[in-house]
Amino acid sequence: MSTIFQSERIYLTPITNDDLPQFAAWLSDFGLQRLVNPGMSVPQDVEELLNPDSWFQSDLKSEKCRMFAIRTLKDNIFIGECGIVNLNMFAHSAEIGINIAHPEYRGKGYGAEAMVLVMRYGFEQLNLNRVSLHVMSFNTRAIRLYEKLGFQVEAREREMFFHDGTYFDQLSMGILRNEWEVIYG
Amino acid sequence: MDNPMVKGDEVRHGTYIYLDAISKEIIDSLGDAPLSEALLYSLNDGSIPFFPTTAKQVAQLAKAADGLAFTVRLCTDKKCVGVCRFGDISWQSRHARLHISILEESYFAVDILADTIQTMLQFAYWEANLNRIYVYCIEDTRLLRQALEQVGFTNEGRLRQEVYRDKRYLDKLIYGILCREWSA
Repeated sequence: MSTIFQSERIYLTPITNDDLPQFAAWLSDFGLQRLVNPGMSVPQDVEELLNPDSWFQSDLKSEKCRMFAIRTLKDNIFIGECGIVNLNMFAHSAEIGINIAHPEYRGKGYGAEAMVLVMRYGFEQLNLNRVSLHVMSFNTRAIRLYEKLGFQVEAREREMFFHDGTYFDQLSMGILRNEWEVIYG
Repeated sequence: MDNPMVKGDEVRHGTYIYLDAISKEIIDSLGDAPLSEALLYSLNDGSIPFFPTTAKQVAQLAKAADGLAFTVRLCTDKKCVGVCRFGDISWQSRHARLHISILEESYFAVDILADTIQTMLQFAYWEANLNRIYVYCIEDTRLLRQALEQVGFTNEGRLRQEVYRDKRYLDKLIYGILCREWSA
C-alpha cells in the first residue's frame, strides 16, 4: 500500500458524503471554529454542504484545493480534516490547513503527523517550493507546533480579525523547499 | 481645479487626484495599446501570471471584481490616470485589501501614488468605516513601497519566495495601516 497518505497512526482520504454530518457538527462548533476559521462563523448543516453552490462543494471542485479527511489507522475514526488551499502552480506555492476536530484526539500528536503528510504531499508530489499557513496570534499551541515542524513566522497582520468583541492579529508562517529538505530529506 | 467640491465630497478628493466611478465612457477612453513592462510589473502582485494587458482591460477587470472600485482622475483636467479598488473586504472584521493601478507611465510617481493611497484611506475610514487597510506588493516595487511608507503604512512582514518572476523567486511584502494610526 502507498504510504504517501499514511503515517504511523493516521491516513488521509477524501471527505465523503458519509462524513458530512460529523463535518457539519464541527463547523457549527464555535469554540473549535475560533481556532481554525478566521472569518465569521456560521452554523452549517449537511444540506448546505451538499448544495452545489456552497463554499464546500466549490473547494472540492477547485484545482487550487485538495481537501482530506484524517482517519485513524487502528479503527478508521474520522478525527479531523486537512488540506492544501490557494495552490499557485506557477509560483509553486500553497497554503495548508489542519483541524484535529475530534476532542479525544487533540493534543496527542495527530496534528503533527497530519501536517507532515500534507507538507510531504506538497513538496514531494506537487513539487512546491513554498508552503505557508495562517494562524491566529492567540493560538499559541498551534504556533509552537508549526515552529517545531520547521515553519518560520514571516508576518503579523495586525487587527486582521474580529471575534468576541476584540480584534486579533493573524500570523503568516512559511517553510521553503530547501528548509524542508534539511529537516525531512 | 475645475471639479468643485460639494459638501461631503472631500472624502474622495486628494491634492492631485480624485476618485470617480469606472464608467463605460472612461473605459472606452482608455488606450488599447499594451501597457509598458514597468507599469505591468507595478500592477501585478504575483498572484496571477504576468501577461500583456491594456489599460482598458485593467479598468474592466477592476470594475468586474468584487469590492469597491474607482478611477483615479486628475483634479486639473479630469484625465483618468489609473484605477484602484478595495478587494477582499470583510465587513465583520472591517478590513480590506487595497489595489492600485496607475495606467499612464508619466504619472507613475511617488506623489501621485501617495495621493491616491491617501485618498483611498480617506474613503476607507471616513465613508466605509473600515478599521484596517492592507497592501501586498513584490519586494522590488520601489515606488509603491516608498508611497506606502510616506502615507504611514507599517511593513508587517515578508512572505519569502512567494512570487516567481524573471527566472527567480521574489518575496512578497505585507503593508498595513489601522484607522487610528491614519487618524493620528
